[in-house]
Amino acid sequence: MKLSFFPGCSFCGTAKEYGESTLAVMSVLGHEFREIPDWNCCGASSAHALDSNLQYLLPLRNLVLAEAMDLDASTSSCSACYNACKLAEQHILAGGPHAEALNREIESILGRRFEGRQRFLHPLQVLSRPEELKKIRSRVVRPLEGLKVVTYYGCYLSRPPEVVAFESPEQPTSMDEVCAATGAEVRRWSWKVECCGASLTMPRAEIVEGLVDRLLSEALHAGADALVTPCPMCLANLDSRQGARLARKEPPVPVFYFTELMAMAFGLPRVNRWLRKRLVTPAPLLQRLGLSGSIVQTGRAAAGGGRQRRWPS
Amino acid sequence: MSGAEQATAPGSAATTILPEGRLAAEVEAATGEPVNRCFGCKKCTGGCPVSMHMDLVPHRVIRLIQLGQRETVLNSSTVWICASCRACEARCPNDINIAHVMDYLKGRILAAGGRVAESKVYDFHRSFLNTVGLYGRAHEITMIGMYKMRSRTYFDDLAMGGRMLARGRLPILPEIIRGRGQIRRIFRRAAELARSGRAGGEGTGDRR
Ligand code: SF4
Ligand code: SF4
Repeated sequence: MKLSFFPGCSFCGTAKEYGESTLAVMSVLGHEFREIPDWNCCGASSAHALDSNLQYLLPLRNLVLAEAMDLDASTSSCSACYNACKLAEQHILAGGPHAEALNREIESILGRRFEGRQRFLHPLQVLSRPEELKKIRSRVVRPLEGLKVVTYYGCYLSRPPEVVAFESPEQPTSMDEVCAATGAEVRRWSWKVECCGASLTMPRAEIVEGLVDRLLSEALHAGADALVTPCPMCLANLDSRQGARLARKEPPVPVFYFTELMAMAFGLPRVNRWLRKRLVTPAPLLQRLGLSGSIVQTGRAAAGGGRQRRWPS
Repeated sequence: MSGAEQATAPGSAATTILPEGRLAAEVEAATGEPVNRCFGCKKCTGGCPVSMHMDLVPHRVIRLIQLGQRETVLNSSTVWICASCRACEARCPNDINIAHVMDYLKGRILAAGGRVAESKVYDFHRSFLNTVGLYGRAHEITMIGMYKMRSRTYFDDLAMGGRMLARGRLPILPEIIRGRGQIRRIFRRAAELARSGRAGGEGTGDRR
């Protein structure tokens, strides 16, 4: 498939490794991603809180720019971006005076309105198709045997269900299937779509710490050694708010993007560089399982880690 | 539900409240959310991940709207603590999008210049959006700087910020888009639309 790609702001910084790993594994599977030119922030968890029009107009600009590229579909692997774009897309497609007013606004600003000719997808929606899973399995050179994970989807891919969910909103399975295709063991648990506290992490860190602690404990209780997520905000919270475990002198729990599991299984060498960005390093776990390859534990940033990198176009 | 109810507002003794329908009518008209349908099943509160940190749990907010308790609702921390996870909305048997109601109430408080019970949450959202208005994209360091000035939380999370920086997760320079003039117009028009009484809620984009 040829897909227009909306990286999202976190892919410029906090989740650069998610963007790079998404592009890398999708290209291994033969999908072509083209970045939406001059895309803007979707408003994430803040636009809707303070301005219900901004909530739609910000992603709408990206949708219009993507539509002008005329590819098979648009996509973002950031689940917050996916959620915002999908909400805007469906709001406009549903019609009505408010949708029409917004579309007129964007037309007067961009000289083009949103026609709704293509749909916004999440990569998991593509990857969980049977033929794609088969492709994934055929590309695995290093099965992730012994790696026990739980899949943590968070809110943005599931809710509101009738607008954004492409599978069961309470028991999604797309990421489970993708992870299982890499050879990892996916454990069952009941916390797949619980909230991590999202942007409360800055103003009310202690709330997020409590929610994260519960998620980590439940993951361990389910027999997992790590969590896998498609959401940059979830990963940032899970990775950085493990203070409660630390205070109890319990070992931290590593968290992966699902694309990193795929990249490891595909034997892509850049995985090492991506995983070094975690505050909780997965190196000891991967070493114990004999999966580390050349992944090394570092206390400090690896070479090039702090530099700005441009997107491959 | 029957008319009068024993309701305990935070910090006050139990009082008998007689229902008054104007607030509910206002919320229904502005958001399209059928708050009067709520029959108090408490599924929203049961699934809310942050209810233990709220002064009014979600179903109480809806009930107090039905009863016309404007002051109590608008002064509560709940509307700001709500993480917009939308679990309540997905599970409400009466199709009430509670997160949407929370967003509407935030807007009412701000429009009336009222007291923001959780000012740091507001500071965060404001700093985030101001950064986006400036560059067209979010930039953590700019946003955190603005947030710390607003909220005066200069020393929170400094060690973690350092660790993130060392791992290349906080780019020093922002990415500034070419179309930031368009972004500025989007911000301006969004505000003008809101003033002219046009806000989200119609259509299915924000509700079932
Ligand atoms: S889930 Fe819906 S009907 Fe039940 S208490 Fe909450 S708002 Fe009311
Ligand atoms: S959307 Fe808000 S009120 Fe509803 S369950 Fe989530 S945090 Fe609680």
